[in-house]
Amino acid sequence: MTPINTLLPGILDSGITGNLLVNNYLSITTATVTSGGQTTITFNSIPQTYTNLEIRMIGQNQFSSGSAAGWSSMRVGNGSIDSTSGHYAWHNVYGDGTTVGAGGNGSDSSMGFARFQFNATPNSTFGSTVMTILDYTNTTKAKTMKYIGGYSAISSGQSLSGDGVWTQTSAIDTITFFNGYGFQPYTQFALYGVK
Amino acid sequence: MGVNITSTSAPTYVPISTQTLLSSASTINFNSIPGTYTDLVLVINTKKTSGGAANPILTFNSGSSGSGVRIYSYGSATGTSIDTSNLYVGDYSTTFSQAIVHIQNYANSTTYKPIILRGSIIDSSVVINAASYNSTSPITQMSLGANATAYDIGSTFNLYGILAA
Repeated sequence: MTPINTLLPGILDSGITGNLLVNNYLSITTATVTSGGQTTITFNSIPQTYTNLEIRMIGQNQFSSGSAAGWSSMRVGNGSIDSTSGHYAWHNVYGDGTTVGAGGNGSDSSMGFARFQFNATPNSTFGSTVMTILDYTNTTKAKTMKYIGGYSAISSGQSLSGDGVWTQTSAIDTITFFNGYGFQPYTQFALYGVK
Repeated sequence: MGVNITSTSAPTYVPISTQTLLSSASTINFNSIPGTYTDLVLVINTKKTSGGAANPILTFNSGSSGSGVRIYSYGSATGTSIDTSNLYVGDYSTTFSQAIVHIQNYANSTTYKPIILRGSIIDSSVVINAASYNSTSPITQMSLGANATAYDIGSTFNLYGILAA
């Protein structure tokens, strides 16, 4: 039987106070967008001293006529970002108030992970994603990520849950998130380590 | 934007409030929430005193609720809905049911507050709700209404603060 204090805080097990109280959940760094149009957010030199990573994101995309929300993607790597075709696979299930659907790609050069709302001015609706990257320092197995996220713009929006895999066995020490439309100010990606 | 990491912050994910019901209650209040964290996480494990499944409603600052987009399954059926004026926190029934609610950037006074949650009745349903408190006012108070019934004895409501570096 698994001891209860070894379970993962965050998405999987935020309710275990005993585990949290012994300081096993630590903030590593935070990236905040200060000017609109920035298309990438990258974490480099990620410490290898945790078991899992959690990334808590709020985001908004620059307005694009004719679109409701932008799809954001991510890549990871060891020493440098891996953009090799076929090194990623991902899948999600979503709902938008009308349709329940699913998306994904079994062989990709990146992993889709979030829908953030478009807005012309960065003071209203933001999207949210909470992601866990499991066993990121392990050197014998592929790396898996899981998340919940979405956005609500009162009369429209989307909720989704998904996962992805980086098929390589190298430890992850760099992560980049990108969106072709650009992130609006106040977009914030906060990186945490879970022991 | 590239962030090279050189150090980490002090420990975070701190309990702010824990409540366990010794008698039934129709509303749970979290008052005077400190504005010193980046995110809040509300973890609830509840059951209701009687009746079928219902959706608790979260309201803010002694006033309005929020909006949300839900995707859910009940048994073998799936569905999705838009809620323009109520932020529903999962489902609960007469068996214990759970939800974890992430309330992000709650203390800022510039943007609306994005909220993401996952809830379930263990043997019958699961729901994800991407929601928003559509106000630029910082969140200093929250209430979780039982919605047409009451929370039963033993229900727990734990609120945590997460501080980003």
